[in-house]
Amino acid sequence: MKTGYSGDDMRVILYGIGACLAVCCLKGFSISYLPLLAVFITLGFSSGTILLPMVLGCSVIAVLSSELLPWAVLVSGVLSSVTGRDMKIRLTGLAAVASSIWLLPLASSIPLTAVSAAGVIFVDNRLKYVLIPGAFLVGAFLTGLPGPPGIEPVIAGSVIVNGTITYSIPELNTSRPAIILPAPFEGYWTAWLSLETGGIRDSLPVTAVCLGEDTLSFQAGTEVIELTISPGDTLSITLLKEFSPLNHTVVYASLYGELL
Amino acid sequence: MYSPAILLFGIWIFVVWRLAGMPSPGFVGRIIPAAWVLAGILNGRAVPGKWFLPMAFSFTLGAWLWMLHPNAWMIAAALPVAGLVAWGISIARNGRSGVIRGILPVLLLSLITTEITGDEVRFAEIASSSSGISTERFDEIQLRTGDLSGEIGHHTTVFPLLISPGLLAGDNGLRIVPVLIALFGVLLLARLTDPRIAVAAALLYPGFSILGLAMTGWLALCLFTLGVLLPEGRKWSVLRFLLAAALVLIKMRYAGLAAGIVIVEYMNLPSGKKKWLIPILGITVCILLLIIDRYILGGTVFIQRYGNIQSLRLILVNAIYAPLTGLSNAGWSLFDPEAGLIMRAPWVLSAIPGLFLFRRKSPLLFRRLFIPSMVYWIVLVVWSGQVWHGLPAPTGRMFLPVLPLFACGLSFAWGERRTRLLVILSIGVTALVVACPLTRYNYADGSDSILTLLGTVSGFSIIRSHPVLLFIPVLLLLLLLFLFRRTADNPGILSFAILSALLLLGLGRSGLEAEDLPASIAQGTQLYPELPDPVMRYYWPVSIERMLVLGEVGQSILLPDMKAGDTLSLELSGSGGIIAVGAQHLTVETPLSERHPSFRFVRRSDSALDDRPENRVIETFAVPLRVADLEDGSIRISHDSGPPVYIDEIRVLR
Repeated sequence: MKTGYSGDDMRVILYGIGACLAVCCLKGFSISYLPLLAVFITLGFSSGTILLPMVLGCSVIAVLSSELLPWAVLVSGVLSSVTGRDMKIRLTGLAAVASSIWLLPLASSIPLTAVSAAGVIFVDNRLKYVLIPGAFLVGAFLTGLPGPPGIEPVIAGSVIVNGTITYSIPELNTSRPAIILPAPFEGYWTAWLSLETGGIRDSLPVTAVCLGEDTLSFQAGTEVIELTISPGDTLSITLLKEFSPLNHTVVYASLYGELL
Repeated sequence: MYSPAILLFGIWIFVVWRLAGMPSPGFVGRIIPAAWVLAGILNGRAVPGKWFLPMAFSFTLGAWLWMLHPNAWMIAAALPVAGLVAWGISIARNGRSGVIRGILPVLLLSLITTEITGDEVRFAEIASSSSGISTERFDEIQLRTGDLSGEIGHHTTVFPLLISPGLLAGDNGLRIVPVLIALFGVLLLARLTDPRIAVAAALLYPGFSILGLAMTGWLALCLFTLGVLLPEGRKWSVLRFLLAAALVLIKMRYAGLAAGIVIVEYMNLPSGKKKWLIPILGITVCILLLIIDRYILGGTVFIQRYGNIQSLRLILVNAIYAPLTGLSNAGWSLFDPEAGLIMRAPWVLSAIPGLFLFRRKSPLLFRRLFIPSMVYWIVLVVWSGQVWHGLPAPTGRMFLPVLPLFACGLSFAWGERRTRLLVILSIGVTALVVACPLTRYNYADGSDSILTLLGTVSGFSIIRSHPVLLFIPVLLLLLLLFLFRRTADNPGILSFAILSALLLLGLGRSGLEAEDLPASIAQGTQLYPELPDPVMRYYWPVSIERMLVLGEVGQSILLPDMKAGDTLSLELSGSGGIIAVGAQHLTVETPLSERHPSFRFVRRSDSALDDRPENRVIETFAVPLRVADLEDGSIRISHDSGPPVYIDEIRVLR
């Protein structure tokens, strides 16, 4: 008896359910995993193993980060709906997009949803191939690109050797806009913070440095500041510039301190 | 003839990179578009494959979303690199010129993104000193770990002399000859298999690991493949013996490969009454040659090994005293997430079934490839133990000599869907390595560079785990292969099994390794040894992992989300230092380890070891937590007094 779907299609669904269960066991349940399950099942019924790479990619991202999963599903969906060779694949892509957008910021996901819908509508029309580049240009110049989803700033690591402290501070850019440098739990330290800022096309302030209640802001260029750090202090470096096209805002910071 | 679509895509990458404001616009944001423009120029009349549009769109979407995660831009950058590899493989179908054209753009990226480090520097120094060609950077031979003196290292002069003409073009000319060797190697592979397979093998791991770099792997591959391609016959056998000798002269590591070549020649001899005499004669000649070299020529040929004969005896130590460890090392060489062959080169999984077909179709060729490759692998694992695994040099280069064998296997599995997916995964590895050059290296500390880039740690590796853990993914893989044995055409099953095993095992870890402690937990602490170079840790008697030091004012570990009743299980070593765990104090004095009796073989008869941190036994200290130990739900571990205390792992038992 024909069932309308093959064993391979069923296997995609089983992989998907298994992957979701594994993710939930490891990371705890999160509502953002639900689109993944929906996508697996839709994929299984519509296109079988053709889109298995998409399933694999989403599974890996699901395990790595529940925050990024809806984005991964959205991207997979847009790609499938624009480049899919038959209607089933394109509709599956649209379903994937529809299942993920309610977990994402509207302003960022609407352009991609529109692209996905247009990809389904403009069947066999080569014009649809300019949809993604066109939407990218619109996003870059008008709506902006989506920023980092997490609000937790990155914490810089430190090393104390022979009474001197150095921090290994990753570069700040629009994907990592803030860094915290916690003070050692004991001792008073004189520290020199060096900032190198660039990649912008104006003279507005780029960086803010906060220590306790004091805040200093800096324009592009090189600066060295002397600070006194006490136990319990938290030094933070924050990027003041948001995304704008043709700007590669970057801050390289280093801190060296000596025990008083 | 050039391809406008590919040229346009190169320009589009450049434009998107700038509009999106992605990092490294001056370097990565230029070299990848430039490589695509080069591809467009070299493309000829070929039409880009079906992968082109999805790849181009994926890159655009990746650039769109790059700010979602600090590492997302590297993944976005890896997409066009993956496309370049796919383009290289597809263009190679146009014969010999297609092979060269297909390989050049990625080779260019490999050269530009890899600093001259490790053995390359040493080879350059020897090349400059032996050839008399003066250079700015490599004029003086620097002393390194393992060298007998400033002048006698563990490298022979054959390879440096071969590459020395490149130095006439200055320091940056060091890689001119290696590039030519690599291109010649790929052409030989194309002759052995198929142009597309040859390009795939070169651009994917392990071929890509040192593609065009001044290291010996591709030269060894050339000599080995040349020997395989020679016609049958007695006069050609002589040439094969010479090639085998040349392999040993390049590097002692290839002695196994050379022995394999000799074994195959012997097996191919017609049977006769005196056949048994030949190995005895061969061994006698070898011994005579060594004696002549040592006592008449003054050791000019193999001086490096006479100077450090103990390293040869390690074969005996490993084989007799630690056979199980050797067996485990053999498994890890395939499955270790940091440097294992299958983990870095998933396409090999497809090549293995292809080898059975290859054997059936060309038994003699199979034998010429299989036996030397296997002997090389066994010697590598038995002799070098864990050395194959991590060095401050590119991962995977040790496996280059087995590349011709697996390339032949791949040629028989190329058309299968399963192969396609595993090749795509392998392309992903190469692409990530180009986009993030640090992932080319492995420092043997248990944290894989590619997994770290993806935001996770496996926790399952030759460095960290008990050997038994190796069998979990192996069993899982075998079980899945058994369950799905009738669905061999199902794409992705193998890769899915491996990825799942890797990630599940890694994410299920219960302990915090010293090297993995995030900055929010470890504050002011330093790793011991400070440098990540694994050479310094090879012969540590207890564990070769790096440890965290607590020994100064301000250094502490702050563990969040703790409560009274929890127990901290700390793996520590020390010589009497006291640490504070909340309000409790812990004196850490662990005994000195003793040298293993097997080291008598390598003339280390004294059993006592120096009082150094790595020689102290690591012991587990269980600390039940009380209310008084907690501070806002966190517990702080810090140094109190006495010598430093070394931490290997922290576990929380609830």
